[in-house]
Amino acid sequence: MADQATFEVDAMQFAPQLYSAALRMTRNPSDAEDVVQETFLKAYRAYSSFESGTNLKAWLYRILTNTYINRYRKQSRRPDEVDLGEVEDLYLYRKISAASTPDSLRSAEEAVLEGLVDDDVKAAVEALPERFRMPVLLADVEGFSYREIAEIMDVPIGTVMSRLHRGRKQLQKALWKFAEERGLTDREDA
Amino acid sequence: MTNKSCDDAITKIYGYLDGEISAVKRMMVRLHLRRCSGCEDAFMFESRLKVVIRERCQEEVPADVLAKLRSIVANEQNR
Repeated sequence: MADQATFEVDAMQFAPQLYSAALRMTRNPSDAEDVVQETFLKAYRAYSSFESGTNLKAWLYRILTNTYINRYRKQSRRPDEVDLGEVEDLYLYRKISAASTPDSLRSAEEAVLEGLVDDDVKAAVEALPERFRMPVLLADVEGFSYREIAEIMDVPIGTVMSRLHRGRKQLQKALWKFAEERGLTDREDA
Repeated sequence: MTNKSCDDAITKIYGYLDGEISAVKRMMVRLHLRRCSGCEDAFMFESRLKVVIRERCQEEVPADVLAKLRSIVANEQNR
């Protein structure tokens, strides 16, 4: 059992991460603020049921995720819930390889990895349909394990793995588009 | 990246980078990467991409948001 008196000390350290995740979920600062505030309120009230010594970060993310879903999922079946079709594995890497020569591959990789700015990466994550965005966010940005993500999202671990896999491919496709738009993919010999 | 051992390695790429495959499979992947510079390069790229995604998605919490979170907790404590 956790003590409510220590909630602020225990939980406040996760505020920046929770806020970042909420921003990627809601895609706008005022909704992110609302979601994080509600998360903290719920977490504080439920804190006595949190088992001390277990994973507080995952527990908070579970509340955050549920709060987001309860608030926004009923609001709109977003048009982004359509089927995206298949994207090949290692999409970004293969695109860069195809656009460079063996000698220039390293510098072409470098140009894309270094050239994509924060706003590109954030926009690419936020463009993912929700069911793919959540596992990508939880795995790649927050560093949770597949098992933790399964618990946070309340889905089977196999579902996490397949959504994560498809989400990453979609993300890479979006990143490639940004890289093209920024002229990061121009062949030097072209 | 054309032969079967390459395909095997590539199917394990995310399990490997996420630390979600067994020690034996990790070792098999490492053995392959030592022999195959094409796959090694692909693994390096994906690994670096993961770092790029994480680093470029971080946000500062606005001070007023932090203050509100603190006051939510304080209000609850005083109820």
